[in-house]
Amino acid sequence: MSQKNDKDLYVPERARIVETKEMTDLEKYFRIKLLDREALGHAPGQFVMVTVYGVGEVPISVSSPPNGRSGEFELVVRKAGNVTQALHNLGTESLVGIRGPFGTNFTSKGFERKDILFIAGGIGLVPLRSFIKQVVNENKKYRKITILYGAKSPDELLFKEEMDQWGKKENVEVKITVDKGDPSWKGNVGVITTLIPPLEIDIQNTLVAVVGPPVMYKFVILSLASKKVANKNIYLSLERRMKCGVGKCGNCQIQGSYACQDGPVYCFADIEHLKEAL
Amino acid sequence: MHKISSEKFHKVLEQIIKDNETYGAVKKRDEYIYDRLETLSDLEIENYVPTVLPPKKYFYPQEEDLVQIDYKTKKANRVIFKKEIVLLGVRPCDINAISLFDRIMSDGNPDPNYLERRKHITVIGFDCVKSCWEHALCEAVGTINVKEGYDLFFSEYKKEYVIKTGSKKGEELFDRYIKNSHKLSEKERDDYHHERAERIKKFNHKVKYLFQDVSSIFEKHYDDPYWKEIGKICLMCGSCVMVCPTCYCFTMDEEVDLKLQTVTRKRKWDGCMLRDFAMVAGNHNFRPTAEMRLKHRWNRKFNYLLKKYHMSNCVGCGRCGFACLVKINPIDILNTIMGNYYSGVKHESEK
Amino acid sequence: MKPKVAFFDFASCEGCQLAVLDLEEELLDLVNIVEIVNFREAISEKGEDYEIAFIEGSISSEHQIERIKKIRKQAKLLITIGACACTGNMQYLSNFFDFEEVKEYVYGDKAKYFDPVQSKPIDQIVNVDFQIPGCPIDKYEFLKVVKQVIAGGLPRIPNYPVCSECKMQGNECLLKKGILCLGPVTRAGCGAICCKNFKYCFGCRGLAPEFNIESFKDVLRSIGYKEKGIMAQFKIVNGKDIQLLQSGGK
Repeated sequence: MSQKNDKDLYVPERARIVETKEMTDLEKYFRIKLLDREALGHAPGQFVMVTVYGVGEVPISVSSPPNGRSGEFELVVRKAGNVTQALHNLGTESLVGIRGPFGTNFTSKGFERKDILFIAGGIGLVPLRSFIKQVVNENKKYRKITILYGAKSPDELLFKEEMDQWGKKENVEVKITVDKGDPSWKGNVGVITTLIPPLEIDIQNTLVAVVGPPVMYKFVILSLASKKVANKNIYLSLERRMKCGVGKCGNCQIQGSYACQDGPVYCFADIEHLKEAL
Repeated sequence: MHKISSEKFHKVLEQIIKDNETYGAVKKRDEYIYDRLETLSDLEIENYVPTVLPPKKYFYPQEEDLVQIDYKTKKANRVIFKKEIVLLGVRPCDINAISLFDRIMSDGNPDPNYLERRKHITVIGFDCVKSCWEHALCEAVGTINVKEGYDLFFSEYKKEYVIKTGSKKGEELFDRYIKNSHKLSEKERDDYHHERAERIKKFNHKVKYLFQDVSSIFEKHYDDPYWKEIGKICLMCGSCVMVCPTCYCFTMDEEVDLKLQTVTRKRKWDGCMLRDFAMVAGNHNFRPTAEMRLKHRWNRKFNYLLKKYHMSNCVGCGRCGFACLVKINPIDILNTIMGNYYSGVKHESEK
Repeated sequence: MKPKVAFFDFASCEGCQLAVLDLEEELLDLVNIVEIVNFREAISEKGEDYEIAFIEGSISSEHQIERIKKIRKQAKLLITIGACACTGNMQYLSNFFDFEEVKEYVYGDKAKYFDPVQSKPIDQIVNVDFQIPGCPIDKYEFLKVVKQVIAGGLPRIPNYPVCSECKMQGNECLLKKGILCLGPVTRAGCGAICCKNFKYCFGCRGLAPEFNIESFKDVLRSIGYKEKGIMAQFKIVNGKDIQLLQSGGK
């Protein structure tokens, strides 16, 4: 992992906000550049600890793929508590603190020339986007890429334009659904699991990456199970309240596993026996 | 191994207290606390019972500055804490807890703030010659014996004191304070071990089952009905966590000073029995009930961390059992869950 | 730009504002980061252009209802300080009696010249953004909250019970000695100052966000207290929450 120095375990590095965008009522986009280091060096699915100085620190998944613009990375932050709210009040040129990246990551290794199925619920798209972009940017390396995305309502959909762009690639299919439509919505209505039964999944040769709110996992796992997808091919990212990010503070523990070190990205086969996981 | 007379023992301690900033068990009102020792008479030796808080507070304080950040430039630096202190009269349970802390804090990503502070703390242990109180289970969980975590260790033997050194620092202390000691012959050494073992046989022994199988039993009885039973009465007050010598979970917060010059990032004790511990954004709580929290806390002690660090993460001091107003305690937890396992009580998932 | 701050008091002893003034050493630094425009206890100015309002005291008259509504309109951030404003404190006990009797008891035949209402904490009249509880408040906790807000964050105080904090202090447990203490159900943040000085906790910081009241009552019964005595102890500061509890509302 790229923790730069043991001696600075809890010391944040300085970073500058170079661009912000309001995405929805609750979500805001940040493009961030490290001041004292070239690149973040993250992998898809990893997270960073973001400091708003004097307010506190909060774990946020990196939303951009690796090897983005030099030294820059993207975050999408939902306004939910003390630190995230303060973060929303920051504009470009503001400095924030960064520790990390931390945790395990998604990888498509072993699935070249095979299929990849992404399932994102709500802001689960944010961490998954890093992996989706990595795969879609090299779409020729894979056979079929399917992206399922569900949100509560049309105005909560994130990265809609990007979704359209991804869907235009020849082997990429994007399917979007909302729990509740509005008069202008012409697409699917229903929870995300309604998109799974019609899929044709080559179960031996498909990698499934799932990120969503805690309640979504159980249902998605059930749907995938009824399609006979093997647990070892399902990867998911579990949300917990990381405080230290380095396996010490205990806040993110899932039974014997530390979500900040052994996760947040887990192979489902490794955690299916953990009752606290889902 | 060497030994000194009782008289010399007291002289040595007196000198250590004189030369160093020394802390030890002192009687407050009805209970003992670790506090500054001015003279040897402050220290409780004969009638020790576990202090309200373990000596953890010296190397892992309730609230500790980790990082200081310049509020203008946002340049950040680790806070380096250096203060030489001596902890005198630390008992085997607490020494085992210190040893466990040392392992946990050096494991994986070593914790620099802890390790720096720890370097400057000298631990001088006293053996227990009798069972301290009915809440203790050190002899069951194997923490009556000490292997590491101390610098010097004194053990009473036939009205004299046997001395063990546990580190280089301990050897230096030995050379400095203990001159003219008697080296134990092989026969004396065997006799000492024999007598000590006999002594321990007279301890509590309230845990009815063999401890070595505990983690697999806790694993198999993850949904033992006892968790629900004690979950119902648990006050979720966090006392057990706060008095525990091995609980190390923490939260971080930061504060700017009134001159708006410096932000200080602090580490504070936190605990899995408390409401906010497993709560994530949007107020979703991954462990909303006392039942789930108790299960987690005790699985950490007897299962998850035991497996990871190859020693019981409950050191058997009994402080939690004493502090708990509804009498939830590790002796009953072990006896009930292991008892249920051996008597074949079906746990919920099997029903 | 320093945020403009005002202090207002309602039915109270004004001890919480005194606690703020008692921050002698920090007071000069405090006015460097905030501008105090209205603080009857300390200054003669009466600015009405404040952003942050600290409210001490409970509401006990029609006139006060109007006044707190006006303050709420102006303040971007309304923070109540002290038990009177946060829980209603002991004056809330009037809610457990017939109000006509209470009026007569207090004012006798002059009752008609006053406009009292049954005593209410502030959040029963207007929306409150944050509460700094305590009787009186802990001045350092007050300072902490100010710093949190200045840094751009939300105010945050402990959500765990006093017992946790009491143990952190290394105090001996009073309940273990048979003394009725509300530590297990009361919100921490005071540093367990009463227990530290061998006085029981009477719950001045309000109930913790989470507690096990039934089990706690069992504990109290086991050391010889009766239901009536227990409830009386609760009611001193937490009458409002006890009413809610009894009606199954919390």
